[in-house]
Amino acid sequence: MIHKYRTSALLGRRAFLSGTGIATIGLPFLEGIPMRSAWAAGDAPVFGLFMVTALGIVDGSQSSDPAAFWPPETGPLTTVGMQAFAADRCTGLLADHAERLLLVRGVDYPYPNTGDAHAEGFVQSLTASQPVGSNSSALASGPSVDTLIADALHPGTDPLTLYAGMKGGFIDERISFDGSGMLRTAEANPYVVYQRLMGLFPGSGVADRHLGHGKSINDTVLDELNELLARPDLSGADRRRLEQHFEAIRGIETTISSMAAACSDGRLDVAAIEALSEGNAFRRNGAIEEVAKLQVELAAIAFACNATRVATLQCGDAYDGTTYELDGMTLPRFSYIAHRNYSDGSTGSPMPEAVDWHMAIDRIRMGTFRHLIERWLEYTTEAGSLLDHGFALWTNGLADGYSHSFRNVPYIIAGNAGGRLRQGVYIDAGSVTNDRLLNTMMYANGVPTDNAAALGSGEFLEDMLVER
Amino acid sequence: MGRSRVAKPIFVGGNAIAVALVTLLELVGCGDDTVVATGSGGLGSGTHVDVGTGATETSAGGDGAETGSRTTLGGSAASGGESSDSEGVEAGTDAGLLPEDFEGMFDGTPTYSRFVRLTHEQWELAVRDLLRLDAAPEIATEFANDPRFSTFSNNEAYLSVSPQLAVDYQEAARTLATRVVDTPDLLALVADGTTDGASFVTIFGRRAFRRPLTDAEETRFLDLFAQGAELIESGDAFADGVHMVIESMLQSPHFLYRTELGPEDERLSGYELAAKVSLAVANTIPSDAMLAAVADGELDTEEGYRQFAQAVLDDPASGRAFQSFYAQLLRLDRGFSAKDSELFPEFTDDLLPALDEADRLFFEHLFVDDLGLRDFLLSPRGYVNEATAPLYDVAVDGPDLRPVEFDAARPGIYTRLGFLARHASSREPEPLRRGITILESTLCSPLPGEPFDPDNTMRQDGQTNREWIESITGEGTCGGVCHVEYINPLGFAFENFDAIGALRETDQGRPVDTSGALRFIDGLQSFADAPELLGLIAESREAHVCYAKHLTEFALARELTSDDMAAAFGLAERSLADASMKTLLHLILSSPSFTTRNGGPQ
Repeated sequence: MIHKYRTSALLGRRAFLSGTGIATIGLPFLEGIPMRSAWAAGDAPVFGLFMVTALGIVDGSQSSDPAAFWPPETGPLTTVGMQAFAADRCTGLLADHAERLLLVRGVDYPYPNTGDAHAEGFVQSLTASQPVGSNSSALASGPSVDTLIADALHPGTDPLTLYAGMKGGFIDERISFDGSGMLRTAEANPYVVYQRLMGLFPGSGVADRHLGHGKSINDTVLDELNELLARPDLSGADRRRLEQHFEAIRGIETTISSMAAACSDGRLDVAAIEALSEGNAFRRNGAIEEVAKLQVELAAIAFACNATRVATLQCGDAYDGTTYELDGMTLPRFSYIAHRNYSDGSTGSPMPEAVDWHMAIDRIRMGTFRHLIERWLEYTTEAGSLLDHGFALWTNGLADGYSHSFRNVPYIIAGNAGGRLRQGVYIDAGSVTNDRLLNTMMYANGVPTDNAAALGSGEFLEDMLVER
Repeated sequence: MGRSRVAKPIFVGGNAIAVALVTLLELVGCGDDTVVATGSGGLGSGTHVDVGTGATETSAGGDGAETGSRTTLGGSAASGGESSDSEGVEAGTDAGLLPEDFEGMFDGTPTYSRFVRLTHEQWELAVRDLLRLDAAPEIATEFANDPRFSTFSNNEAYLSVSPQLAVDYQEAARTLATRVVDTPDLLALVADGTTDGASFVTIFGRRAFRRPLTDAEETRFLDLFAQGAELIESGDAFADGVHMVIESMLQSPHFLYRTELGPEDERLSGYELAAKVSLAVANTIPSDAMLAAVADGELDTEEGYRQFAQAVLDDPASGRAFQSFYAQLLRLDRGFSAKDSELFPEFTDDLLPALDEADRLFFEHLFVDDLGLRDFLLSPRGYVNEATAPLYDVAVDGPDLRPVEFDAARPGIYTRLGFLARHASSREPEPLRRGITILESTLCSPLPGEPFDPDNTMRQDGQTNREWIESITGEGTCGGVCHVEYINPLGFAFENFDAIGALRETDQGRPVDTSGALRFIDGLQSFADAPELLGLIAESREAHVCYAKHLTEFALARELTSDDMAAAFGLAERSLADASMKTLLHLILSSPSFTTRNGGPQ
């Protein structure tokens, strides 16, 4: 039933676009974005996307493995220099955009694995907090960086939380936390994300409905929640629960009423999105990178619509059965490949090709990040592209895939975040914990340095910044 | 692993009821050679079990949950809110029985929420019944999913309305309201034939909120109804008003949450009890007949309420929630791993719906036919169709699943394809997964850490699956302690079932070895194969305690306290005496832990 509704709404929107020619015209994307909250007048908003992949990389930390990820040496990055190692090291695939990259090695997760390394790696990736709970149910003991950014820049609005992959029910989303133990759910269907954003586009969807009866209904729900919140006998937990519900409804109101005409789907491959509208098409095995590419574009649109200043995207959860294709052949489950035998642990038959296949998958994933860079570069204003207004950070829940190591986790950052981040350089942080990197990204995203919220030590990685 | 020794019973709240937040591994000291003695109390009983020695003394009153209206799950209603929890935690922590992260939100402390949000499954069925739909609308499958933090998805602590879910509710409410008003027959059905706005608000509001509306609510929604004609402008003022009311009430907190709004420590109102029982058992809102029974005062007495709860349990349409109980317990919501198509060409994706439905039918059979844990573990009943029958080596015609009685090699749910094939890799059984799942779901033993991940290149050619596993987790290895007497024997018992759950006799050309010895509280007990193992488990006290614990947790929709767990021991005694799931449930539903508002500001 809901598919039926959504399809008709989608067609209506597309007809509208065709009628105005917008669908084929690249709009200046970031103009007219309403300023809000923490941004002082005259400042340009900065947007940040944190992208966390699964199952580690092949980085040569195993003595038998080739060094197939990082550039051969730290220092300046140039297109020519990166092209020289592109055949052997997958970061070289980003050579064309060398001047927009900041590569950081020498960053570790603060807490050693005590249970399921995959879950605990995801948990620490954006929180730098100690995982609590056990095994695949591990949760963070503090908020994630996207929450802190959202709280500082637009209170009351959640970060956009996205997912690419099948969600097999074992770990699922595990990177964005509202607070200790408060996992934020991630939307895995780009079509649903698109539908939500579409409602924000002027002339269609929620925005128009809101002008009708929707506001009266929202007001009624808010009144009911207010009456319940006025009860003197609420526990703290119940008060928080009702307040969250209240803020969610009010957030809908605020978002709808504050959207400007800047956001649109003019550059989006709507046909590809629509292809994911039926059933579980978005969860089809083998589609993880295709979905990830759509999700990063939707994040860009969400930024343009000022729906949020920060987003996260988790790609897979390690145990979800994801497979990749290589030269027309469907590889065994990526999890098996990363574990180097035909099982999710160690009990399967050996897989001699595992290292080669893992390296090939790393290159495929790097291609997805390159897609992000190239698409975001297309969204321009007089001041530059989206990469000049923000950043996209690529990392992984693990460092080396086979050993499930938490040391030397990969970080690739594209975009200068309004001039805050250094570009065209590969640095070694020197075995520091990732709270310092995340605090730096929080600052880059626009959170003032005197903001009380900070992760872990509260320190920064000054070497990543132009100046502070 | 490495737990502290415990050599004396732990008493809670002065009731001589042992803290029962201990698991099998903790009880028997996996990781060391500790002999653990702990007491065990029934529901207000004098039961005492010296677990370490296996000596059991049971005094009268082990069936405490039905011994009196003031008996709680774990003690008297008056003492339920006492400080026994903290005492128990302290005692348990000191004794090293509880995990390090016991304190805080992961300690199993209930929230005792006054606002328990409907699960997505409950929302689906509630909407179906509220809007008189033929079937669930299947909209919630697209809702923002609820993260799973505990064994069951209905845990009150984790059901909230996120910004994404608020949008989902909003869209669903609009979609459903549109569907009703655009379908004249459906509109008439939902409105009970009335064309009067005030009547509609009264009728629909009572169903949606599971109670009569207050005067203020009547006024509020009638005003909203009146706005419809102007805001929607379809030309049908009644339909527009209905649209407004449906769309609004489906987003109302009084619909989305099951509420407990009365004073602390007092019995829930009749309407609240009806909703709680209906949602707990049938996963949906109370019917008109149930609401009428409340209005007639039938739930005002304990006896009336008990009869009401029994009637809900006996309704053939009920039990849906408890199909979900079993499925969640066994993690059957997890997908199947892809099978090697060369080794198992017969195991295609087409089989998967039939395997899921077969499990569902089995669970339905257990509930409807008033069966219990032994049947869960040992029943020969299965459901097969023409596609799955060959894998069981039985003959059935047609695509419909039919009940069959398997032979002695396949007792209970753990020998069914749905379980076995899920817990196997693409080519081989996974005894560790099988063992761990059984350990966690039937013996209540969460395990420390991730399974071993050693270098599998050490696997030697020609090693059987069992030999390989033993070589890396057997005696003398770093994982030997927990594996040798718990995980491995549980998994190896099913080695005669291959990666798709079909019977096999050999591995690597040699006969499979399904024998072993599992450590129970009473000591090591040997078995020859899975049927013998399951028979031992079915008669073990720890399995019945685990079953009672899970059932209580699911029915109360919250984490359990030490008082609850002590009560679960009493239920376990009933289960050991062959009480059915329904019987145990009725005891839980009748207890003040279920019927009384408790919790309070935190």
